[in-house]
Amino acid sequence: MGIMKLLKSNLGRILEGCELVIRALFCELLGNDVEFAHVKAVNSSQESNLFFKRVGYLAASTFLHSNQKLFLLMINTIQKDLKSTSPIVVCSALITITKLITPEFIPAVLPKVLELLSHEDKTIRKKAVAAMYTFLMKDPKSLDLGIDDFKRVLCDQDPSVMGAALDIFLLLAKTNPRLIKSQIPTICSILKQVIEGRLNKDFDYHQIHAPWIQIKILKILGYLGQDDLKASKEMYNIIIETTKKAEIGFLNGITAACGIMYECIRTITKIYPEQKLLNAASEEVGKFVTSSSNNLRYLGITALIHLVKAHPEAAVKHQIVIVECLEDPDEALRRNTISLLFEITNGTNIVFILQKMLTYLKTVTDLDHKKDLVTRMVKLSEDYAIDTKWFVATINSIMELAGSLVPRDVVYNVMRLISEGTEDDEDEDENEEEENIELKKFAAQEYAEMLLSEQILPDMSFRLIIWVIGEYSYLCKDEFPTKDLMLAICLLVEKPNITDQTRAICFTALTKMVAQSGIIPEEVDDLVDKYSNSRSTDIQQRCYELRGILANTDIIDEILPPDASNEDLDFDIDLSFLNEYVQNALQNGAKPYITKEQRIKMENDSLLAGLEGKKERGLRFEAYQIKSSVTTNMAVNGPSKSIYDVKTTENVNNSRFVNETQNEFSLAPNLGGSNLNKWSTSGYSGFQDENESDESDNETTNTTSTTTTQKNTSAFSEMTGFGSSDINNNQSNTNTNTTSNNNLNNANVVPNFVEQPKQKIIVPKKPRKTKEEKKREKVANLLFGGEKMKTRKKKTRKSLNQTNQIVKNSTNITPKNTVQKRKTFNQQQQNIMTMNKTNKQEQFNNNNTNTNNVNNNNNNNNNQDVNLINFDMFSSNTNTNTTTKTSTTKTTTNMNQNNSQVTDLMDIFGGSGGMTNTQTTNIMGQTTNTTSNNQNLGGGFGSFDFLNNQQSLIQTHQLFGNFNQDYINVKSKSSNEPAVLLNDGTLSCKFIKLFANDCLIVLVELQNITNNNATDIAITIDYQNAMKTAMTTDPVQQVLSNGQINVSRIVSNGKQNFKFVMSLKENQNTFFSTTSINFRLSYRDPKEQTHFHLIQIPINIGDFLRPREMLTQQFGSKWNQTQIEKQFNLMNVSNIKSIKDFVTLAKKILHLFDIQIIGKEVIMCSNILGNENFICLFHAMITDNYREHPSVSLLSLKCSDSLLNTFNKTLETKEIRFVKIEILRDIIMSTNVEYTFSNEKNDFEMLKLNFEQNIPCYTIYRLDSESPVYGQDWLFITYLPLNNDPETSKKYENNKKNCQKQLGTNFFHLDININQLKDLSWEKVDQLRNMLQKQNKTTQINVKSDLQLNQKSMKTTFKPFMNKFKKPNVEVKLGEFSCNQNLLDSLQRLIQKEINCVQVRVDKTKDFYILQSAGIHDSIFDLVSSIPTDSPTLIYYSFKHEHMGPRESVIMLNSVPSKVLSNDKMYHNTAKAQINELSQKAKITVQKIIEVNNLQLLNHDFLLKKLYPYQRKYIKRNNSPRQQWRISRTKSRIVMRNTINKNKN
Amino acid sequence: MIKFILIVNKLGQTRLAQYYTTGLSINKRVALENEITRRCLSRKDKECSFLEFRDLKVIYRRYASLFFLVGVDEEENELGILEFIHCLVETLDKYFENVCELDLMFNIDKAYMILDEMALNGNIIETNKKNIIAPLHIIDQVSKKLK
Repeated sequence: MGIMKLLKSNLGRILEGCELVIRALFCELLGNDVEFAHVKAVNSSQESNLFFKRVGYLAASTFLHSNQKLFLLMINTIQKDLKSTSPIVVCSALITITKLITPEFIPAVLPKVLELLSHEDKTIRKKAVAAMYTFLMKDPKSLDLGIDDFKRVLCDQDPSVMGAALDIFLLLAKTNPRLIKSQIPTICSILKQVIEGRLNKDFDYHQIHAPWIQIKILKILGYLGQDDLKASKEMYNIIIETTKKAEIGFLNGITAACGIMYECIRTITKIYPEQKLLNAASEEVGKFVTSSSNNLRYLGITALIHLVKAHPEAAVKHQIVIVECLEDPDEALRRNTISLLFEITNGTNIVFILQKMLTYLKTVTDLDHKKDLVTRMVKLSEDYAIDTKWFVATINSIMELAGSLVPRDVVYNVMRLISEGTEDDEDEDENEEEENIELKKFAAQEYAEMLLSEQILPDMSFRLIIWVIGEYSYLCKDEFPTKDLMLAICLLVEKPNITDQTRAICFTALTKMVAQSGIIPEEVDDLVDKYSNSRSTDIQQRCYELRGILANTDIIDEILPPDASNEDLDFDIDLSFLNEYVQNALQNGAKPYITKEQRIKMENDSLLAGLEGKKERGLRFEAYQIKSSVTTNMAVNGPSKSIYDVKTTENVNNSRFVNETQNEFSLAPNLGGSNLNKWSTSGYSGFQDENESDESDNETTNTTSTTTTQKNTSAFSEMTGFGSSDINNNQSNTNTNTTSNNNLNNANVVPNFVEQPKQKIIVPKKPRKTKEEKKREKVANLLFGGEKMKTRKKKTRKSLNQTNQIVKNSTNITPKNTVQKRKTFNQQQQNIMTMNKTNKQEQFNNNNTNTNNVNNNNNNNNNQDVNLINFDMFSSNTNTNTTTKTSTTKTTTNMNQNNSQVTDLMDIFGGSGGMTNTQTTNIMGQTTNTTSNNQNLGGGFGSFDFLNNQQSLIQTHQLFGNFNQDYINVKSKSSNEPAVLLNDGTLSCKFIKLFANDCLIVLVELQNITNNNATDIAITIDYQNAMKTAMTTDPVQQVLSNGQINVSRIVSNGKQNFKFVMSLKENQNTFFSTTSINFRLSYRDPKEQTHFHLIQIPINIGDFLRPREMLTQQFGSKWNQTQIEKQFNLMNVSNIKSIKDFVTLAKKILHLFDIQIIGKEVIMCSNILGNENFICLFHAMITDNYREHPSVSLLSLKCSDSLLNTFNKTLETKEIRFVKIEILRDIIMSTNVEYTFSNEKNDFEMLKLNFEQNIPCYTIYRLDSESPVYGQDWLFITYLPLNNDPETSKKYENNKKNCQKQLGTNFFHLDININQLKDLSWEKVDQLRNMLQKQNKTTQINVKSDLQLNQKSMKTTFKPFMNKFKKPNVEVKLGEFSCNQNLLDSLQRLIQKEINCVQVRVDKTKDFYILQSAGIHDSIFDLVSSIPTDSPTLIYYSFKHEHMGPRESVIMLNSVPSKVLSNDKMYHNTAKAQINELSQKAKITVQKIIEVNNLQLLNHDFLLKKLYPYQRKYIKRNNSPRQQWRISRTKSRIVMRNTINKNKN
Repeated sequence: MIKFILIVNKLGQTRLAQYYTTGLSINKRVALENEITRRCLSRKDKECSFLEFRDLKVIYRRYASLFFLVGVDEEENELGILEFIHCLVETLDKYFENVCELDLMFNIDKAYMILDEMALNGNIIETNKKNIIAPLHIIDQVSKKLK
């Protein structure tokens, strides 16, 4: 808001004003009202400066969008600017016109704009065309232009002007297609030019020529060709051509081309249908829907929606995809698919489709969408209902899900339907009657259940429920006692969330139920008492009626007979029973009734009289005359509302009954007469209209059907697959042999009713609603409404009644369609199944590669420079590891406390640089970060501490820590100035670190600070703890073999320099373990005293990191690629006050490149020296929560190790012979890589050289022999020297598995453990291999105590194994169970169909699967006889059978005869669990596993039944010859089974 | 026809909004934007870039932290719009050189101008990047002289 004030106060100044207008624009964008700036924007547009003017126009056109009053102020400026010479100014004015112009101002600018249409500047022409579009859109009359004017614009030489002109044509094509129909050839030729690429290259977009222009033209063509054969013919060719061109792009995956293709499909569906084009479109749609991109699939579905209207078969082709899309997680896609379903619904698939929609409806949350969906669902279920019960059930389920959205009419329809049933007035046979009662009972049960479940339903649903229960609860009183239902209703009445109307209905229902059952529970009684005083008069009345009925029990049956809601009531509309009363009144001096006409006439007269006599007209305030009033009221309201004569009685209570029926069938009384109108027409007249309009449509398309025979029609409906009702409609017309006019049909029927003995009159509104009308309604409903549900098989009736005829027709159609549908269904299911399978396999593959690539972080690794491979394999820490870690950390902490200067220890990367006061081992220990996560990253490159120790130390020094008193204090600084290592009065030792790109150089300078000579200076590098190889010095000095440098003397004030170079190349990976360079210095001072000093130069991680330049975007993408992440919380680091401090510090110490500082966050990057691929990404954040800590910084760090990639690559290239792996700082990493030189034997010698006597390591060594699985064999050698310290050994032992796992290389042929180097010889390895090949054993082979060989456990390698399964030459272990080669061979033969049966037994002694027998069995009986009855057996059997054609599927029988010992059974069953793996390994697709306990039961039909358990269901519904054949077989099967059972007994 | 073009960041803040239908009050507009943005943001990457919203179709595309949303009517070609968004982004990128959210925030007028060159009346009128940027360079020169 502060900004807003600032804006307000500063708007006055012009120069900033412009800036501020822009700011105001921004403020408005964010949703603030900046009305105060509106006028400023207008002012700014009047400036002469181009920039101000443009901004002014821009702001104004945005601001005035919703506030057009101010536009008046601008019109003058616009007029002026249109005449400007500057194109920019003219353009600005034109743009503003397009945005703001209102119809009344069009004339003011129109002439000038028209003039500008031929301006020489193309930009101006283009904008002028756009302005013209605006005029045309806002006020078409304002433009008085002929086609030639438009054409002139269209044929502009500049493509972009032409593009804009196309918009005008599109608008015209929509609004006035006739005007431009003549221009189709022109438009087509433009399209031709475009697709041939004759436009300027600048208009190409991603290799597609002007895609938007193409799309526009296609749209125009679509409109022009609509329902116009002649026009469409002109464009067929060009559309095909465009499609072909677009297809090329489509196949290349260019989105714009896809867009064009989609537009082509839309155009094809829009224009006059042409089969060839439709077929092409259908094909293209196929490409869309089968695409992997959801966008394309979505559009494919949309295109299908359009396409099915013209080309109904199109959807059938893609039904599998449609079903898939229906289950897609993408909501938009599902929604679209549902819309498609609406289009393809017909009488045969309605059940399925509605079921799908119901499931979908559950997931919808958007109210608008839900409402739309419900309306369409209701419409569908009305249109295609298969039977009444189904319809009622469907509406119920819809109401349960979205009751409030169900239209009222539908609810009333349901009520009427239940009450009337499916009866036809003419021939009510008993069957029908029964069905009706059944329906009523069904409904009553349904609703009783709903009521008792006490769901919260919408009001309308309750009304329906209550009404049905009131009417028909007696039908289900066995299941639901009337009393319970009454109590439930009582509870409902008391609920606060229902309306009074519903309450009123509740009372009526109660009344009916009391009448039906004759009981009145106390609760009801109380309730009636309570509501007798209700504020709603309606409820009051009903309560009193209930009382009244109870008082006169003898008339109950007469006034409330059960199931009479459908019966027509007689009304005495003359109100003759009142004659006596009126007579009396008249005799007593009341005025006679005056009819309406008379009254109006009288009123007019009195009005005239009033005008003359100035008599007041209006409301009368005086009281009515008492006596006359009664008569008048009655007379006026009589027929329509309050008082009726019901049948015989004059009981006042009965008038209520009428009222009630009226309420329920129509709407509640207080909703008034308008609703009554609605009722009488809605369900009926609405359908009627539709009926007629549809008919007229059909007349054009289905002309043939009217003349064809019934059969043809059904075939036709099958073909079209939808709109069967339409066809029925036509059919009905032919059958009745009358014209296609419904009214005439009805007229034909009328005489039937005339002969009826009683002329009944129905309530309300249309008092003379005759049977004739009712009939018509019914027909309409049968055609379109909720009663077209009698598709059940019925004997054909002879009646000429068209209703029946229709019913007959639809029954004829149905079965065939069902068969067809069913078939496709099966197909679908199978397809889906197979797809699932392939998916699964893919997943497997993925898993496989995943394991190999878990640590593979950098994809860009193509670095040939692979001297060093560093594995950053992060062990999931074993227990011992963690304990070691914690213990070491403890020690360091303790020491820190001992120092007592240390206030805080922030372990960022684990310690190396800082805590040199302890032994190196301790420092090593610090690396192990306390967290036991797998992403033990920090140690990957050393560590440093943030320490808050001695305050005297400079801040930077804190990072390096202080040295123990025993050692020489080192106050190291970064590279710039030398830090003093030693100063004992004689010699001073300084060092400086130089950070070269590929190495770290440490320069040490010794200086004699005395005036005398120092002699016999010797420096000895401590090999143990420092670098091993990388010491070079100035050439002057001699480096002795033991790392000693001798300098004879340093003269007074003389200097001597040493240089240590640590480079990655020379140094391999040692730097990871290097924490300091230690050397000893000894010299003799002038007094001939010998001095010893132990000097340590700390090395920390920062020394190995080099800044790496990177852009923020790159960082982002790298960050995502890099997986290993570690987070640190640096709390209370007092010297870091702001992010900038942190950055400076980090830059100084860690040598990071700061990519970007964003607020309080920073991202930084570096890589390990000399290795571009090893990238460390840092993200730090300072949070200033001062209350708790001065500053808290969060640091997360990721590092990539591309080197693992290199290793993975070796698996393919066979270049690497072996990789030596060590655990350094608890990280498993490779330290040495050697390439293939000669053969495996010779290279093995080299391997031995790489082992160091006392350093344990793992080595993986590639053998030349090829494993059947990977094409490569590897040895995994673990070397644990005997004299190693137990802790390290343990570490190596524990991490072995881990290491193998991390490598993702589960393919080590041999696992060799050695303790002494001499044990390692090629002969032994060779020997082991041979032995392994000969001996087919899975157990571990112990050759020597210190040389072990493990056959790799198959458990872990099973998955990869499966995928690359060739032919195993050794036994394979399957989890717990293994199998022998014979078995595998047999299974192989089974696959190749050489044999059809393989029997497998489990060998208990060896945990083995053993081949029992294999062979061919001609019949099942043959098979049964071969199965042993005394032992459990697994049988793979290739079962030939007939199911939708001949089939052969492998099934697995698990035969466990009952007499087998339970022990064996158990054992067998455990083995069974593994069998699936066995089948997978042998690549056998087992259709089904069937348990057989009794071999006698095993026969062909038994297997069939097990294979297709649902088959019977199909039989029930289908009637094709095949189905019948199946039925007969099922019967025989049942017979057979029965006999078997008998035999058994 | 395009009904609106919106650019929002991933926090749902509007960075640019251009409506081609009149008569939407600020409050309604903000509500509409919020609703649409909320829906778009909740969608996953893999899901399609289209969204049905009331009677509109919203086509959106994500570029780093920015979402470009275009509301269109039924007859508009979805993929055409999707590519139009890309074209717009390419143009912005060409003009701003490596465009980012901040560019739009601080040069909102320029962004609007680019949009005005590309679409008018809810129709795509220009997709030729040269033509789009040319007038902007002229205006830039003028405004530079001012400073």
